[in-house]
Amino acid sequence: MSKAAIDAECEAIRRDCWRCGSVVPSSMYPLIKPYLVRPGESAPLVLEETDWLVVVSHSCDITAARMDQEPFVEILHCHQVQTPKSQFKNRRSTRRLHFRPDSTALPNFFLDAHATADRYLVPRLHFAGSAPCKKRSLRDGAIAGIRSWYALRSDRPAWPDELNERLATVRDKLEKALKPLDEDSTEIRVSISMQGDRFRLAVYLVVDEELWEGGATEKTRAIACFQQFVAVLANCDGIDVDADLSTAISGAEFTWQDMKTTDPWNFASLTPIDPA
Amino acid sequence: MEVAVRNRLPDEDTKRPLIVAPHIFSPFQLSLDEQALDEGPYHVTGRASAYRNPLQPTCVVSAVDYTRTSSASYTTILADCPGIAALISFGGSDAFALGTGADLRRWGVAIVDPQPWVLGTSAYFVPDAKRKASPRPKSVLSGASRANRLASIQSSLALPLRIFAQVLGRSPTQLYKWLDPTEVVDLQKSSEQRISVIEQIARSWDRRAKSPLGTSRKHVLSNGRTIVDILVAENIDELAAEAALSEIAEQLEERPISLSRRMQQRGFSRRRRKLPDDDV
Repeated sequence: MSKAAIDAECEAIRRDCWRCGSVVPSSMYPLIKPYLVRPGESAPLVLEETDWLVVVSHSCDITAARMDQEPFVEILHCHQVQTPKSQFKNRRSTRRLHFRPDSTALPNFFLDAHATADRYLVPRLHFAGSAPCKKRSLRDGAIAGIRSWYALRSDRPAWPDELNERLATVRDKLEKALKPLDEDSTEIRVSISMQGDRFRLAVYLVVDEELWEGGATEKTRAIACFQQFVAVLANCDGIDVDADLSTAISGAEFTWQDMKTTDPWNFASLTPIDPA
Repeated sequence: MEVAVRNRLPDEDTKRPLIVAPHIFSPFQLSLDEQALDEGPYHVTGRASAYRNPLQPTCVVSAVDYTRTSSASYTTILADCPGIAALISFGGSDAFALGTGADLRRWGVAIVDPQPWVLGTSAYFVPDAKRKASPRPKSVLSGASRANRLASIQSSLALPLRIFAQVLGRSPTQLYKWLDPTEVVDLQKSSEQRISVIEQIARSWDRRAKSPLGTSRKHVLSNGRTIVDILVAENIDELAAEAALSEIAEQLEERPISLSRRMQQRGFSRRRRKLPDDDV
């Protein structure tokens, strides 16, 4: 096949609306099966009826204009899980994810995937001429969740193990405190310093400017979460909360400099070793 | 059985005395007198039934103005026993801090070279110098109500935690307890009154401005003071606070709008990304 012809296939992929979150139809399985082999293994993956092969490459990469720009599409092999585990839900683990591909149509259907063990590369060429599965697809929220999960995996701050161990003792309480917090309009950010054998944390609740200037009920709810979170932290052995600095603050006032001095709080940052 | 206070271990760093109560295995009553403490008055009577394991206490303690008849956690017991901040039990040379999940260091207590009467299992009460033991009206607020009231104040004032603690007349450590809805804390009448006053001031600010007071607290008023100076006073001058809020609100109106607001006015808006919640 000429280079021009190959590049023309890219246009076909774009026309067929492949994007991040698309699900590979079962009709494509024979074509891509040879690529679904884990390194070091000879036998390809055996796919179950309930398995989903989800495209996790960025939509721009899947539809790149030239084949040599993006020769492969990244696929995530997801397996149905009957009893999803809390520690893998909502991106709490950066290694394993339990998620609902479509919380509206399939509210009780959960998939399980491992970030690397279930990830495969398939030549993009094979996606030309086939459309994504029409029966199965991920809702936008689920796609955003997977993207966020992979981003978190690479970007999460590396906190000292000793701090993680101390925080692990109150993890459940911290999670409970932050559960009602809306991640889109608020963010907990933390700066860490060491004083002797104790960790000192400056903790901020950064609030979207729109919410800061309105929405008394939502704002109060967010601050109540923050307060409880701080109270749990302050009660944790070996950890002090910097009461002079810790506060709720408008996103319009929290500066770029402040962002660089703090890390976003994320429970995925707390586990150097995954819970069983 | 009536037992007098036998001894105490003064804490050199904090001057917080450690009052020693005798063995707790048999029912007893404990009385703390004024001389035993740096601040007073304290008139605490505790009564404990037998308990078996210091780490799994089934102790029942009552104070003068409180009677608990069923087993309770130490957190509950301590919350209901004014003047007592922690219970410490010793088994051999080891010390266990019981109640409020206390770390001994929190109370500035260092156990060095235990005396013979310390050995064996005995229990000690650490009086909290800031808590008064005299009979007083108690708040009937649940922990959640208390935490929500404070959150509501903070949604208007957005003060850093230390300043908020000062405004409430508490230490940051005490404030953390107040902020935690799972903590049982009986507010004194004076604390209730102070919270009510601050609530009024917070609501007054809400009527004047859309956004919380926040960093505007630093605004130096025409009289050279700040709103924080007014709010941390032992007796809050509400009129002065009202005047200060008006002055700060006027100054806020003159402040240029934020960069993000200007961008928004020109059609640039922040991206929103609603992540799914799979916990439901």
